[in-house]
Amino acid sequence: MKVIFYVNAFFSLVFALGVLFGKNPLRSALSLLLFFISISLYFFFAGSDYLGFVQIIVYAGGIIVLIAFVIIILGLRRESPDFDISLRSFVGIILLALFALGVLYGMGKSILHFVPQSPYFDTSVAGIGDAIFSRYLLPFEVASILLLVGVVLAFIFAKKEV
Amino acid sequence: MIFKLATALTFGVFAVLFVLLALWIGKFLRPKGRPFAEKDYPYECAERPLMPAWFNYNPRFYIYAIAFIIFDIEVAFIFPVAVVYKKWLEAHLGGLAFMEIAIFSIILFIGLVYLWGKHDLEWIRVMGLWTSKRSEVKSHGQS
Amino acid sequence: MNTLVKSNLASFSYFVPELLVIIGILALIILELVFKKETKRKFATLFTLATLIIGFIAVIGVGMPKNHQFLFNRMLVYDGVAYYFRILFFLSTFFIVLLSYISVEISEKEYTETMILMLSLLVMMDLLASSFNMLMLYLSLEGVSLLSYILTANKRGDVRAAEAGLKYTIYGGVASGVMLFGFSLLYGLTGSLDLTAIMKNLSGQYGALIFVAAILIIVGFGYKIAAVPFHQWSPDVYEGAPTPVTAFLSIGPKAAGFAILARFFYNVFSNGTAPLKFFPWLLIFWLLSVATMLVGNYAAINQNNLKRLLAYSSIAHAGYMLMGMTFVGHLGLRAIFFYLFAYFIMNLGAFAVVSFMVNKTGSEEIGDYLGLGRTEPLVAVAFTIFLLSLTGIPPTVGFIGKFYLLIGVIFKGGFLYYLLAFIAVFFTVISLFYYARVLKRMYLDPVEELKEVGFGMYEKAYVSVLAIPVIILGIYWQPLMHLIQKALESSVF
Repeated sequence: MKVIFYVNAFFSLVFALGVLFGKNPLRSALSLLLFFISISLYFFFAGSDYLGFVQIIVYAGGIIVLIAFVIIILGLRRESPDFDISLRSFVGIILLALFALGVLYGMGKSILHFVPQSPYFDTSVAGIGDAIFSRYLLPFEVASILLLVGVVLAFIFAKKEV
Repeated sequence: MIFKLATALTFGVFAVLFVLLALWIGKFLRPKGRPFAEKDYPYECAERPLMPAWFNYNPRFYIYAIAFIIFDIEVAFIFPVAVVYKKWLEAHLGGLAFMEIAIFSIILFIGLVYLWGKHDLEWIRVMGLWTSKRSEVKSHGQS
Repeated sequence: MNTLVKSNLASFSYFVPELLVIIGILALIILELVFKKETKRKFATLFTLATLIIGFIAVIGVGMPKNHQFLFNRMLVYDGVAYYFRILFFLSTFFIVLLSYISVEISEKEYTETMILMLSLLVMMDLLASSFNMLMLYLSLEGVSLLSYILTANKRGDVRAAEAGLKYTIYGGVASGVMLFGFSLLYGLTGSLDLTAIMKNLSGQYGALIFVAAILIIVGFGYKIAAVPFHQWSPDVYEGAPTPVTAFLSIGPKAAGFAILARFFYNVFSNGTAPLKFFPWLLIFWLLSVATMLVGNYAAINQNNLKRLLAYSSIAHAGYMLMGMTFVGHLGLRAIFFYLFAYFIMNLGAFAVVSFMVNKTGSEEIGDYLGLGRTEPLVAVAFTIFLLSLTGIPPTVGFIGKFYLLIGVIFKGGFLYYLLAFIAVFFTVISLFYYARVLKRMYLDPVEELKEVGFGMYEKAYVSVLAIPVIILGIYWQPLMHLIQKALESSVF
């Protein structure tokens, strides 16, 4: 298990860097997609299957499509990333690294020994399915009405001519 | 644990194979010959890059995008329900569960009907300034 | 699991009005595609009104429960107060639809959508006023907000409306994010989303954290009721939105906001008779109330745009109503609930006149009301009644409402409460000044040439129907008060 975790961690780092350094905006978007998928694995490791699936469905599916479409619509241009390593950005990088180290240290101290399972709620997919059918039925149906209103909203705003 | 991982791995391999297979079959169906000018565009079958990034563009796309996101979220909601549906059938509550999920889907389906009925799912709708350019593109594509 | 399912099924009998309205909404969405352009407005209005009337019959049919009922596994509570607010929301939606029908600000193109959105807003307000679970509360609050944004921005080709919609959306998004953070703190501290369970699990040990959570949550509610300092959106939104929508925002979502504010704080931060020991109830609401009265009344003085003036006056009225929240007890609650009804009639009346004027003259400026007392005596008299009632002058319902609020505060006793009552009376006197400016313009200012406005029967009947209850309830208000008392007895407060 541990090996998979670290391999995944390595890949998410690679994909994240790919987003930054990709010369082609679309390639950056695809890197972002892979990054999202690798992030979703963390949720599976943490025992929140459902959040992992939502991560894939909504982020890797929906948000990436949005981004890709925007890139297409705005027209693709080959971007040359202009990174000039000035003194200022150098200081910034060092500060960021220090911050990351601090966060990692804090997490290693406290969180890594803690299994992030909700003490109040069954967070597995089946648990959430049961909850939707029984306890949280009304919010579930109300959410569908909200989504429907969202459709009408999207229509109205996109049609608007100011 | 290992067995479960093996199942997942097999599934992944088949998923990749399926994509490759679909592409391979397409090879027999698509027209052959020299690629024409549009082929060089990054997306030959969508909006063509006409000018630099700073321009007013057709907001039509957003309807697609947002409608897509909304139905995406619907999937996210329905998915956990599907997982436990069998259990509910065994508890003789299947009809009820079906009703619940049906209501949810029907309400969202009405949203789709609304967009459809408003002729909002047609990609090219002539809008003001764009008229001439669009027709240009269209005739160019046909020629 | 079976008990959960049974509870869901049993709840439907109490949920009939909302179900009917939801069916109406879905039908209207489909019908919108079928309606012909020329007759669309009439049919959409008729259909909406029919839905509302059938829904209202169902509301009365379900009636006031003897004891409070928890619906859908404690997601909602159906009690007297929920019943009372259902009536209030159905009535206000009904009148707003009638107002929209003749409004020139809502064009044919977006008319049916407006109807759909108003009905959806009605459902969401109903849900909000009876939520008993933080999840449901957040969902319905967000629903009310989203629908308000669309209604505001849904005015084609109007830059002001677009600006208002954008401001509203951004401000609302931030406010509800902050509130959600407060909810998450409460959930983390207590492990429950149910209001009663939260109250039981709260312990004084985390007093400071609970205080922070309460403040964060007040941001969300305060934004809904436009309490200072979360009011900045309201003048722009009130001015930019179509006038019927403005009227709706000032009576509907605001009342729902007060309902859930009272429900949430009474159930989470008090045990029904006194605030939790570690929670400075008086301090928070006292400051909120005074600040709201101060800013609302002060800013209203210099307004020349009547919609803006009414927006600031609406803020000031939220301040008056917050007086009833400074202490725990039915005395405060009944005053708030009574005032909400009073505010519904008189403010709707005032906005109706503004809307009719916009229809006929296209102007919202006070200056253009010159000589209205002579050209349109009936409407001018009705407008006078509404404005006097907003000021709180007897014998109008506004006076009775303010009276109950002051009584509650004074009965409570103590220096801070007396001071609060004094401040409220002081600001009432100030408010007379800016309301009277409109009256002066209508009656006293010299008129050189009279311009006919030409209100028809529809407008005259509309304002009369609203003006008469303002007077009647100002003289004979006991039945309404009795209803509220009875509603409170069967409620979880």
